[in-house]
Amino acid sequence: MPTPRLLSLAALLASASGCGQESGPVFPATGPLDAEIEASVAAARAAVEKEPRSGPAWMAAGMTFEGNDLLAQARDCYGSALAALETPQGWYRRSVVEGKLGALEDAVRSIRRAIELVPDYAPSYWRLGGYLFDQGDFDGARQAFQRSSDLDPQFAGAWAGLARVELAQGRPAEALALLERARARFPEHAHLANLMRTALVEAGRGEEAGRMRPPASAMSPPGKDPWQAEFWRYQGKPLMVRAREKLEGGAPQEGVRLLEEWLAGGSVDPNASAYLAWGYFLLGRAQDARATLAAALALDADNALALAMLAKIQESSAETEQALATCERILGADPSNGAIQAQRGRLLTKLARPEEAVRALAEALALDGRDPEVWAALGLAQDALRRWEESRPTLERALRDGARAAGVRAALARAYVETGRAREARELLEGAGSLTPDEQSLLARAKGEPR
Amino acid sequence: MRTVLACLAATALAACDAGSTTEPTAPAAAAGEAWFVNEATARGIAFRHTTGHASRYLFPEIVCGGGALFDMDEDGDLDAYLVQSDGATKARAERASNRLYQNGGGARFTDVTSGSGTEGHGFGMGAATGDADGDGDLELYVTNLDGNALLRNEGGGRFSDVTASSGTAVNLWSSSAGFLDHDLDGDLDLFVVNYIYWSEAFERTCYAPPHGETYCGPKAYDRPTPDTLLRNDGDLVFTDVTRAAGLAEVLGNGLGIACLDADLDGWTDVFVANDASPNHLFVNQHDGTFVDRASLVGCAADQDGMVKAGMGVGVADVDEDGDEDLFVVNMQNEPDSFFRNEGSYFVDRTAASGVKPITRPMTRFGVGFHDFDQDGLFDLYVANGNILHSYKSYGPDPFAEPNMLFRGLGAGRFAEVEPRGGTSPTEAHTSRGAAFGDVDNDGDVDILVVNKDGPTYLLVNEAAKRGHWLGLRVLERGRDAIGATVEVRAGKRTWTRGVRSAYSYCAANDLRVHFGLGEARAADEVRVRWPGGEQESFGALAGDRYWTLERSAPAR
Repeated sequence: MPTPRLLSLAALLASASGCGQESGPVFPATGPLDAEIEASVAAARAAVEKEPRSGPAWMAAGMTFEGNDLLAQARDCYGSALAALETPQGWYRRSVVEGKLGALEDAVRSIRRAIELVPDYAPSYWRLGGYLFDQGDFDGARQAFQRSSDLDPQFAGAWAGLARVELAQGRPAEALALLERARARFPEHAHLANLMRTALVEAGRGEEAGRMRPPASAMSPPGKDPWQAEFWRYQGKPLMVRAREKLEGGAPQEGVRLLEEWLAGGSVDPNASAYLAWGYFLLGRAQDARATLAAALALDADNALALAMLAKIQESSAETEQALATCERILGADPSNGAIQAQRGRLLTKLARPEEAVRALAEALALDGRDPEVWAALGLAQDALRRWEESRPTLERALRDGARAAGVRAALARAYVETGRAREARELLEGAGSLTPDEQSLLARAKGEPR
Repeated sequence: MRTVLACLAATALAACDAGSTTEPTAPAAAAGEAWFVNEATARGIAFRHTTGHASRYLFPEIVCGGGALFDMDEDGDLDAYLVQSDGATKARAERASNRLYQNGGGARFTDVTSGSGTEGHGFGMGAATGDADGDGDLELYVTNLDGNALLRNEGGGRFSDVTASSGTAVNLWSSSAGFLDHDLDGDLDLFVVNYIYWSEAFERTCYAPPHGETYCGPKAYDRPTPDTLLRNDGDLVFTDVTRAAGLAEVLGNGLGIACLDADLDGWTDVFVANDASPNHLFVNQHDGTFVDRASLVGCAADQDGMVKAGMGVGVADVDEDGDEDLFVVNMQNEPDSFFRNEGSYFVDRTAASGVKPITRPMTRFGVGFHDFDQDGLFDLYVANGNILHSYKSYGPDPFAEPNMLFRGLGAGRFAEVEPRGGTSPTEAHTSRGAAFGDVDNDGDVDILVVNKDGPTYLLVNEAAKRGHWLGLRVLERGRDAIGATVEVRAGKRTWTRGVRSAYSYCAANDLRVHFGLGEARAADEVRVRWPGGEQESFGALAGDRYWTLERSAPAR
């Protein structure tokens, strides 16, 4: 006769699997997917169709979905994985997804089961503390964070959790004492620094808080978490893609957080470090950026991505000569790198070497002609050389394709005026909202010199 | 003690009669009982908001939708103004217009837009209301993507567009706005919250798996703006004093506003909720300037230092300590921020509020604290609608989400009311602005919710009442005393509430101040702290009715 505990476990597993499927688990459906994600999902589907009772295959599918923010599908897959083979990692991942979905009671149940299976894994208690904290169970959260810290004193997230509990309960002095000890261990931990700032404000020491370095990336890595690292490693490429999208899409804090968490999990990857450096740079942490790049290049001196990021940072820091040298170093190893060739062209323009710039930019466009900004850069270089018959079609294409570089409209108007196309110049400028002095002058010329 | 009381029955407000004859009962609300009934259509509000979305995802489309509840014709009941958007890149003449609905009494609305002068054809965001010319009726300020409009109330339901002569156009993408007397010179100035510098030329393509192309967030544009302060120089002429006030260099992606006296110094401060950039708390320096002290006093970011996507702002003295607290709502996967005011700083008490795990899956915009069931505790209503394609489907609108209603439990804690959103059945659209006010003058607070690309909700409060109420119209020199604070004491309880129209999201709200009294049938004392700090007691007031409180001390 099954014991109540076993019955309870059976019920938990049944709920995890989503149902008591007679005919086996069903692979979750999705809407239309990006091609890259579609390929990952298809591979995961093929693996579970080959071995429908394989826990690892379902775990992989779950991580594939989770790594692409398809959380409901991930939760279903983890359920199927647990039904096939119960593992602490399965419950751990399921709790993470449930937490992201806002199903905190489910997340607590799942992480408690992971703890039952492996009682000495510090990150599980940290997760549990976070869920309980979000539910307002501060005593429970404190116990969980304390257990996490006891198991792994280097787990910074546990210290942060304990400080959050003190703050949430209106005890800033206790939070400050705890944070001072924590920051002695983890002086660069951004989350701890942010909590310190909050604690100072709540202790009536706002002026001191104001003197601290401004908040950077709030969500620093909590500490060593091999199960999480397994997830990041599995999702390495999508993670990098997502991190890059965050960095390039104007959310550098998010990108930095993703990369920091991944690297904190034990991954060594110069490419990730290169992107992380760029993220730091976007956040105004230039020293961190250069240090991270130096570490990446120490691992791989010819890493093209790290060098490309270095060139970006140099260019953005007005170190034009150095940036040019870095670009040429990259092109020495990879002459077909169109983006770097385009950057080299821009740098040559800045260095008032327009002939070379035109050659470089034309070469860049021959390698990859999709970026309107490169067309714009070429057109501007041609304009600087007064090659208006050449700059006119170049700039027309740049504008047509949506180039945003400053001066493109004026340069095209000038090309029209100088090549006897006053009507086109008028149409171009009269259709614009506000005009620069240069454009106003060109419009006056166009009006005075009808074609 | 100077006491100036005038029951609004004398000024033809039906609620006085209703209040004096209606005996509120105090049964516990049955579990699962709806608190609100959506009666928009039945009561004559047929407004359907449209973004005019075609194929390209244009950023303004995803955050628009606002309106106002205000008594435009001085007949004692709230009229409704709904702001249309309809095509971020369309010519003005091609756009559908804003709509004005006149409340004929008992919350029976009639569309009186035609000929009212309120049509407007900007790509609309929201509205603000205040008596800017001091003639006793409310002007209407409409925020747009492409130039705002100030509409002077000419009386009789007619408005004239005085934007150009008043200098109030603000050619930025404005979101929320609020009237305030920032310099205590006795007239209402205007604080306009601006979002980002945007034009079609700056539009970007953003991608979110698994749905492909979608709307970008503000960081993708990286074009934050300053907010705008327009000083009222009299005769409906305003001067842009943004730079002189010290605001020009303070950038953000502003969406929500609450004007409050955060530090209880008698001068109005301004809190601005910013999207993906730190919130501002512009503390009034008493000389026409402001200093942003949000990061120093703990309301720029949450407890963890996370800068979140601030949308709407709720404001009320939730912990009954005499100063007003702030509740900033955020986007999916970000908890709200309940900033409890401790006098000289704020503490983030979201985790203890009970709201955190419940709202986090949603993206929240409109928000308001009101005591909907009159039990003496502030409740909380949150209007939700995603900005990304939802992973959960709530019908054909991929951004739709149900709204949420929380019952106050005291001590800053809340519990969600079922059915979700307080209506049965639960409704789901892409909600944005929510305006709060007693549209049927029955003594409880109703809600007007504007849904992006959807029909409007008029949520009439039918909650089982757990106590008594008190409604106050607070006047100074004949106009609503925006910036005054009212304290109501009954037994051992003291409730504090500001006189304001601007809070929530892109909304103008009922200027009357509503208090749930719980078991108390009357207030033992009502005190008003007027702008500038002078206090005046109005003595004991009976509950379950509206009163008008007029300042008797010399006004500024």
